[in-house]
Amino acid sequence: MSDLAQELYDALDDIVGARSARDGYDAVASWNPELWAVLDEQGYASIDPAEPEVGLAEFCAVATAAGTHALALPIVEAGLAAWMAASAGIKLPAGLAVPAVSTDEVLTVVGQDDDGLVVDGALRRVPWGRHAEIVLAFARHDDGTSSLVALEPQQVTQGSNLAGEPRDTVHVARQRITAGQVCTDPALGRREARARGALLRAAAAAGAMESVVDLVVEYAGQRHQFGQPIGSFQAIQQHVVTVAQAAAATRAAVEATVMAAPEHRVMTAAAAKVTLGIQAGRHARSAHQVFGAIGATEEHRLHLFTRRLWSWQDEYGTQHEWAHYLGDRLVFPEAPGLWEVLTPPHPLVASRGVGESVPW
Amino acid sequence: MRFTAEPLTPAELQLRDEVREFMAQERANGLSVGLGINAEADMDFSRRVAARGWVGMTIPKEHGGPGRTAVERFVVVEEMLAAGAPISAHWVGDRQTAQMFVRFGSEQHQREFLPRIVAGDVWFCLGMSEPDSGSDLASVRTRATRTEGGWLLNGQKVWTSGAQYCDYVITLCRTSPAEGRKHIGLSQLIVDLRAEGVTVSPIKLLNGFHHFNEVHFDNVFVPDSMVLGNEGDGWHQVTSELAHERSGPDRFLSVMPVLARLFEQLRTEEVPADVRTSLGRTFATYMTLRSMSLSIARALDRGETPAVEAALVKDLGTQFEQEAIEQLRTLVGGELDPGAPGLEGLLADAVITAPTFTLRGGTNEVLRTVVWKSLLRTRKESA
Repeated sequence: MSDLAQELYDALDDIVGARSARDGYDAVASWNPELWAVLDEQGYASIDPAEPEVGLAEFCAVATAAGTHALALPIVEAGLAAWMAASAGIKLPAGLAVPAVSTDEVLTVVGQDDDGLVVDGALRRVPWGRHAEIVLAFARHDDGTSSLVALEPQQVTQGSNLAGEPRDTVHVARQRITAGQVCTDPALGRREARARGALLRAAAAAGAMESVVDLVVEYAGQRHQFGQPIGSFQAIQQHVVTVAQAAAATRAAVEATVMAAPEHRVMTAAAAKVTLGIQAGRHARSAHQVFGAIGATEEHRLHLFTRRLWSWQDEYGTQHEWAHYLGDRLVFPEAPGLWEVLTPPHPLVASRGVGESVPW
Repeated sequence: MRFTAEPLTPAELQLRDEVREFMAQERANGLSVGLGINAEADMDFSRRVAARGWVGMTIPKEHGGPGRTAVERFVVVEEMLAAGAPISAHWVGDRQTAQMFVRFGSEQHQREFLPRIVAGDVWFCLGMSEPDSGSDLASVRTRATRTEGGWLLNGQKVWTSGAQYCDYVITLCRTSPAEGRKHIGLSQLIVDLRAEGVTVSPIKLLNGFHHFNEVHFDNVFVPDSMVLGNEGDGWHQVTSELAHERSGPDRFLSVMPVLARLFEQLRTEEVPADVRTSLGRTFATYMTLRSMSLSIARALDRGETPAVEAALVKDLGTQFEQEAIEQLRTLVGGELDPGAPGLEGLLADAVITAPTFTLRGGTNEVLRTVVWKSLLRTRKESA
């Protein structure tokens, strides 16, 4: 981790950890405007991707710290939206901006003039849509090209993910977007924006998983049955190690993406999201098995993490979707050979458009 | 446990390209493709690899070695395994024995053996497991007793890979009574496989390969000079090399040659969406495992001993290898004939040898106990 990434991680960990200790886990793991104001003041709601020292490592570190505490505030979303807007030269107004790229749906452009666009449609699964001042979304033109637009949500239907985090539908009825809030020729494509979202979910999940490792190791050492700690049974040890292994693999996949060559970034982000998809299930299954019935109740905080993992593994593209992407991009007639394909950098693989088109 | 990513440097990538070129040439010359460290030994091939300076790479220059890094060795090894190269002749010497001599060997051992390992002129195997000692390695009963100028060795080893062609077997044995503590009183002896009283008999793998052996020692004389390091230091020596033994690309690349064959076939075809998805999932796991394995090589170069991380990766990697075989069976489809050429024969071989993946070098269950103990220890230390 870079020094700045470590600093951002530690400071967020401190703030949220202290709040969690004072007010309880639930106060952190549900919408908390007062804590949001604190984090906003500390700059976490507006980390500027244009700052030269701020890069992917820093955003991932923040996501991991948030995941560690099951923090139910849209820090990750604000960062993703800021990056999308900056890459398209859109200057966002003050207030919470969130991205609407978790699903692959887009708006339709139904009108265009010098003053901007008129867009129509619905955006599903918008994270924290009900709290957002601005939603960033792609809108498709008749000719198949896409614009990136920043719109003010007017009608929102509430929904949630498995952990109760807001995932809302934003209805857009022939809404006019002024030219300053539109980029008609964004270098950033939907695929790439979603890949970054997927990576940030994997980073957050790695943090959540590390917390679960702590919980599980502690419990297996403390809980006694048959006159001994359950961790002395090999069957339980196997589960605990599965929990730790899934956490390590997910984190390794995230870090590999952070360090990847830019021309292979989307490919490695996809691999990280697939890895999360594979590991989240076995991680949560084994953790719940160690905890027994108490882990499956609201009384124990295990669910704050496992319910998020069950949701995050699907957000910004399921394991299935990203696995298909990899299979689609990496199996091609001119391929130099499987091993060469899987061990970038390689120019023939880079030519498949699996890298950055805007700086991450 | 952190697996910090640090991609290959330009110099390491250049080495990789050299190995790729070498392997392409070898294949063009008709080198047969096998499955990782299960591929049948080919001493001539091993000598050609040695001629390129790629055996015993991490032996320091002062001991007559190339003095390359663990990562450079990783680069060479992963390229060879991915290509299905028959590396098993030099494998044990390269991976473990060289390290043992560097760390624990006498000056004489270092002078005598290290340059020969580098030259591909001497082959080693490991005499660890016994009929009654598998996972519980410290319970070995092979015993050496004092005699004039050395030791008399008696006992039996099993699963000794390559003993039929190797020169020496590094033998873990008891040199003094356990007295209630089985980890003390063990030593490693460097035993000449051609010495009087040594009998090697084959144990055939399920694919008919002669890879494993039984080795019997009947009053074998081992001179004092062939005790590795200090007498009684055997357990420490064995466990200190686990990070080298368990973390390498051999723990997730055994099936790569099969998948690579399938890839060759598919890349020019119309591939259905579900097949692409299935392949993509496997690709992602290869990428992640490789990054973890590489990060362990980096840690070794920093002077760390990531034995627990290595156990974790070996467990994950070998489970994946077995799952990958199941996936390949689905993708290839149909009945498998072990005598079939190409992809089908290789896959048949993989199916038959797969049970060994999660056994050799420590069963996955034992590895997980190692990881569990470390997790508990770390937790107690931080509390």
